[in-house]
Amino acid sequence: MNYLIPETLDQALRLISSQRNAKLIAGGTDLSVQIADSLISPEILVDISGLEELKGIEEKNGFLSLGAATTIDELVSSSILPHCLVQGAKSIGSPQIRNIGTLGGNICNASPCGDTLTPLIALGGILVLVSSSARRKVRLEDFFIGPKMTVCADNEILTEVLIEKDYLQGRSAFRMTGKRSGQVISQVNVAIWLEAGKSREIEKIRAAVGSVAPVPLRLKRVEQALKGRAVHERLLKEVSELINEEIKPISDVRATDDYRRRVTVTLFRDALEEALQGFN
Amino acid sequence: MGNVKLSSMGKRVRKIDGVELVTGRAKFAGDMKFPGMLYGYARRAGVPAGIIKKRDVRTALKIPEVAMVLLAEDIPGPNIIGILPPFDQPLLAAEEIRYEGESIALVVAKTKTAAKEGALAIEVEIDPLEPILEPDEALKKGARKIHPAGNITYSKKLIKGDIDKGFKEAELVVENTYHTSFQEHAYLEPEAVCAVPCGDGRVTVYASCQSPFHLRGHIAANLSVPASRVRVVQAYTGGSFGGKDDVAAEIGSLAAVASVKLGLPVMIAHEREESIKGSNLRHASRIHYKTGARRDGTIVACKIEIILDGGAYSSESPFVTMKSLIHAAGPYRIPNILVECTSVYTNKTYCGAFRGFGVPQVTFASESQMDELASRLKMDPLKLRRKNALKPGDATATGQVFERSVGLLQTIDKIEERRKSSDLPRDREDDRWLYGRGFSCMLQGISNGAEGIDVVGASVQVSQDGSVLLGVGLTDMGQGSRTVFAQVAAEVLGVTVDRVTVRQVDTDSVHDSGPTVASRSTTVGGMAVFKAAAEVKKSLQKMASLMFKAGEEQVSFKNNFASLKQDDSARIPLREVAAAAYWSGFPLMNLAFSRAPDADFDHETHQGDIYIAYNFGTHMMDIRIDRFTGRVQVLQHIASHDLGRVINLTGVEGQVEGGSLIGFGFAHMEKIESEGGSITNANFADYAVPTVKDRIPTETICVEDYNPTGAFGAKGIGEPPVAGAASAFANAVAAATGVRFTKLPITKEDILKAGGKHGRYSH
Ligand SMILES: Cc1cc2nc3c(=O)[nH]c(=O)nc-3n(C[C@H](O)[C@H](O)[C@H](O)COP(=O)(O)OP(=O)(O)OC[C@H]3O[C@@H](n4cnc5c(N)ncnc54)[C@H](O)[C@@H]3O)c2cc1C
Repeated sequence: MNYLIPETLDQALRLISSQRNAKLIAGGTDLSVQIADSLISPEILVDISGLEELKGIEEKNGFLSLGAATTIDELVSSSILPHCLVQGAKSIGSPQIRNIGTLGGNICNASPCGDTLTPLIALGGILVLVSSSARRKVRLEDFFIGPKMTVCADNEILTEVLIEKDYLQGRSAFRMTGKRSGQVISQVNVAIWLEAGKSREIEKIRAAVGSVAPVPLRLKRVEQALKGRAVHERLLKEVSELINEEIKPISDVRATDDYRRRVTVTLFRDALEEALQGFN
Repeated sequence: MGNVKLSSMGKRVRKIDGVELVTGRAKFAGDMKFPGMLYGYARRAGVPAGIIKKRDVRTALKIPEVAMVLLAEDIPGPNIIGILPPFDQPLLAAEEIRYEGESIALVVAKTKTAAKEGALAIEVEIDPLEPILEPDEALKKGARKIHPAGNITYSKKLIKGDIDKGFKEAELVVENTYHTSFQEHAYLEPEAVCAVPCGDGRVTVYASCQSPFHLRGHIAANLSVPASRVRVVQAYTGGSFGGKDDVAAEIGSLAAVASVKLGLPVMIAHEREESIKGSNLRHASRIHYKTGARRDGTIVACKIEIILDGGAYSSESPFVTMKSLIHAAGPYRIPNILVECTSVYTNKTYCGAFRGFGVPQVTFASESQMDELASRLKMDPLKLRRKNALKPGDATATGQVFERSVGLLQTIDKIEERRKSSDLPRDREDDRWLYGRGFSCMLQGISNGAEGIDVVGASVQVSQDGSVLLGVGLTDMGQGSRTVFAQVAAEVLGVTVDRVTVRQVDTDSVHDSGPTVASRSTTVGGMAVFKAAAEVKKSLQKMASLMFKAGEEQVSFKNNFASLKQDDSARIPLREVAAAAYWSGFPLMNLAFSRAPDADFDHETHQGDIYIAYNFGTHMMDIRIDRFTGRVQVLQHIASHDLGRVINLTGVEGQVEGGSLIGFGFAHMEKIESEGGSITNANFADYAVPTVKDRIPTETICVEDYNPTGAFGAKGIGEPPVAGAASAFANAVAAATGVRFTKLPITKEDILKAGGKHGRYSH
C-alpha cells in the first residue's frame, strides 16, 4: 500500500483521478477499521488531513463555511457554531478520536448513525464537492443514498460544508442514545433547528433523525405538522405518530427496531423542548 | 505471626509501578522487540462444530515472508492445554472443531500482515456438524457427544441437613428461575506473548499472564522438554481478571514451539476479536431457586439447581461449579440446603475463570430471592437479611464454623446507618424518573481452599546498600499486589517503600506458587513475604547488635536506620549494617514459603472446612430510571466489606470500585450476542463494556473484623465487589419499576420493554 501526502488540493484531485484503487484518508478513524477488517483494500491512500484549503471554520458571503478536514474537536471547541452541531460533535467517540477524526470523514463515511449528519441536515447544510474539472453543491439530505453510499464520485473531494447564516438565528438541539455513556455509537440520534414565538408557536423548523433508516432522515412531514402551531401535549402525540410513520428502523447488534422507535420519539421531544427553551 | 501490625497499615500507599504504567514507560509483551523477531497468527475454525477434512498449507508457505506453518502434528508434546482434568483442549485442532475460535494452524512470518495473509491462505475443509448451542440440547438423551465422555463437564451436589424436612417446616416458599449471560473480561491489553530461544537449549517466554507456572508446565509439555528448560517471565499485564490463563498457555506454547523450531524469537499478540472469541468467558447460567421460610423470616431450606454453560472445553469449569455450589445459598444461616450444579459442554467459546468465579451468578439469584421473600413477608429487605445473616459460630453452607472474622452484621450496620442518613429522593419521582434503592449481601471464599494446595513462595534479598529486592510467585495484573508486598517487606525490614523493588514474576527465581486467583495474594502471598523478610532481618539484627554492642532485642529498624530501642538517637544507617553483614558473611537472602491451612472437605457432599476465610459484604445502590428510554443512572453506591484488615486503603478502594464496575457491566450492559454459534459483537463498539464515563459513584466502607488466618489479619477484596454490585443493581431496578427481572443483564431496552409500575412507558 502506498501512502501519498499531497501539498495542495489540486495535487490531491489529480492523484485520485489518475490512480486506480486510490482512497482518500483524512483522520483515518473509519478507514483504518475498514482496512483492518479487510472490508476494503485500497492500493493507494491519499492523505488530505493537512490541506490548508480544507481547514477551518469561517464566515464568508452569508455562509458559515466548515472545511472538510476540520477535526471533530475543532467543532466541539468552536464558539460560533449552532448548538446542535457542537452537541453532535461532542458525542463522537473519545478525545483521541475527536482529535483526529474529521467532519468530512464523518460525512463521507455515510454511516446512518454519524453524529454530525443529523445536525447538518437540520441546519440545511450544503456540501461542496470538487473534482479536477468541476465544482458542485449538494444538499446534505440529498447526499446519502444508502448505508455507506453517497453521490460523491470517486474523483471528487468534499472541500467544505456551508450553513446559511440564517440558521445562526434560531435555536437548535441534538440528542442521542447508545449502549453506554462514553465512546459509543448512536442507537438513535435526533437534531432539531427552529425559530419560535414566545408562546411556543413554531415559525420555522427543520428536524432530522439518524440510525432509524438506511440514511439519516429529514422529517419533512413532522416539520409540516409543527409549522405555525404552538407546541403542546396533543400536538406532540400527533407528531409521535408521524415520526413512527416516517422512520424505518431495523434490529441489529446495537438495538431492536422496537427500542429505536420508542426512543426516537423521546429524543425528539427532548430535543424540541431544549430548542424551545430559548424562546420562552 | 498473623497478628503483627504494620505501621503503614490502613494508610494510602501509591502503586509502586503507577508512574511507569500511566506514562507508557512500562513495556508490555506486545511492545517487545528482539532481533529477527517473527510474528505468529492463528487460523481459526470460523464454524462452531465440524470434522476437519483437509488442511493444506502449501499456498500459505508460498508467501515469501512466511517462515513456517505449525499444525497439530508439528507439536512435539501431547498438543493439549487445559488447567484442570480432564485436560480436554487441543493446542491445535486436527480432527474435531468444537467452537468457532478454535485454532487449527499457526502461521509464522516476518510481519503480522503476512502471517495473517498466510493464515487465510491455508485451505481448510470442515464437514460441518449441527452445533449444540444450548445446555438443554446438550443434556438431551441421545445428543451428539461434544467430547467422548459426553456433554457433562462436571456435576456435583452440596448436601446439608435434610431438605425435605426443611421444606416441611417452611410456611412460605419462593421459587424462581434466573439466567445470567456470558461476560468478556475486556481487559485493556489483549493477550500477548513473546518466546525467545536462548541458545543453551532453553526458551524464555515473556507473557501477559496470570499464572506463569501454569504456563511453564504447558509450554514444557508441548515442547516435550523438562520444565527446567523453560523460563516464563511475566511481562507487565494490563488486566486479566481470570482471563489470561488458558489462552496464555495456548499462545505461549505455540510461540515457544515455533521459536524453538526456527531458532528465532516469535511474538503472538491477539487482536480484540481474537481475544473475545478465542479466550474464555464467564459462564452463562440458569439457576432454579426455591427458598423456604417461616413467617417470621427465618429461612429453613434452600433447594437450588444450577446449570452452567461452559462452552467447548472444561477450562476451570470444575472449580467454578464447586464455587457456585458453595456460595449459592448466600451468606446465611440455613440448616437445610441442597444444591446441584452441572457444567455443560456446548459448541461455544469456552468458559473459565472470571473475577468472582461463579459467585456473581449465584449471588444474583440468592439476593433476588431474598428481596422476593421480603416482599412476600412484607418485611424490610435489610431486616430479613440481618435476621438470617451468618454470625461467628454459625455453620456456613458447607458446615464450616468460623469463630472469628464473620463481619457480615457489621457491614449491614454500616449500610443501615447510611440508609438512614441518605433518603432516596423518591419525592422527586416525576413523569420522567423512577427511583429505586437496592440492597445485597454476599460472601466470597478466600484462598484456593479445597481446590488444591495453597502455597506461595517469596524471596527477599537485601543488598549492601540496604535496598530490598523482592520476588513473589504471584502476579500483579493491575490489582496492586506488588505494592502490598513492598509494604510488607518495608515494614518488616524498617525501610521506606521506595527502597523496595518488586521483581516481575520469573519462574527461574521463585517457588511455584500456583495461580494468582481466589483473592489470595494479600492473605497467603503477604505471609510468604513476611516470613522471608523476617529471616533476612535476623542477620541485620545480629549485625546491628554487634555494631551497637547491645543485645539483639535492643535493636529496631525504622526509616532505613537501625536504632536502639531505649535511645532513638543512637542510630546507624541500614546500608552500613547491610554492608557489614555482607562482609561478615551473614546471609542476606531468604526464600520462604507460606501455606494456607489444609482444607478438610468431602467432595461428594461439599461439607467441611473449605476456605481459610470469607469476605462478607453488604451493598446499597440508589438508581433512577428514565421511564422513556430505560436509561439508568446510579446516584449512590455504597459497598461495605469485611476484609479483615486494610493494608493499603488506596488499593482497597481501587479494587472495590473496579470490581463493582465489572459487576455493574455484568448486570446492566454487557451481553455476548451470537448467531448460530458465532459471536456477532466481538469488538468494543458493539460489546458494551463500561467506559470511564459509565463508572458508578462507588463509595467503600471497610469493616475490619480481624482474620486470624491471613497475613496481618487481612482477607482478600479482589473478587467480592462484583457479586455485591450486580445483585444490588438488580434489586434497585426491581424497587424502581416494581418488576422482578430474572435475567442478567437487565439492559435499558429490557427495562423499557417490561414497563412496570406505571404501565408500558411510551409517549
Ligand atoms: C473508537 C471509535 C469511536 C467512534 N465513535 C463515533 C461516534 O460516536 N460517532 C460517530 O459519528 N462516529 C464515530 N466514529 C467514526 C469516525 O471516527 C467518524 O466518522 C470520523 O468523523 C471520521 O473521520 P475521519 O477523518 O477519521 O475519516 P476517515 O476514516 O479518514 O475517512 C472516512 C471515509 O470518508 C472518506 N473521506 C474522508 N474525507 C473526505 C473528503 N474530504 N472528501 C471525500 N471523501 C472523504 C474516506 O475516503 C473514507 O471513505 C468512531 C470511530 C472509532 C474508531
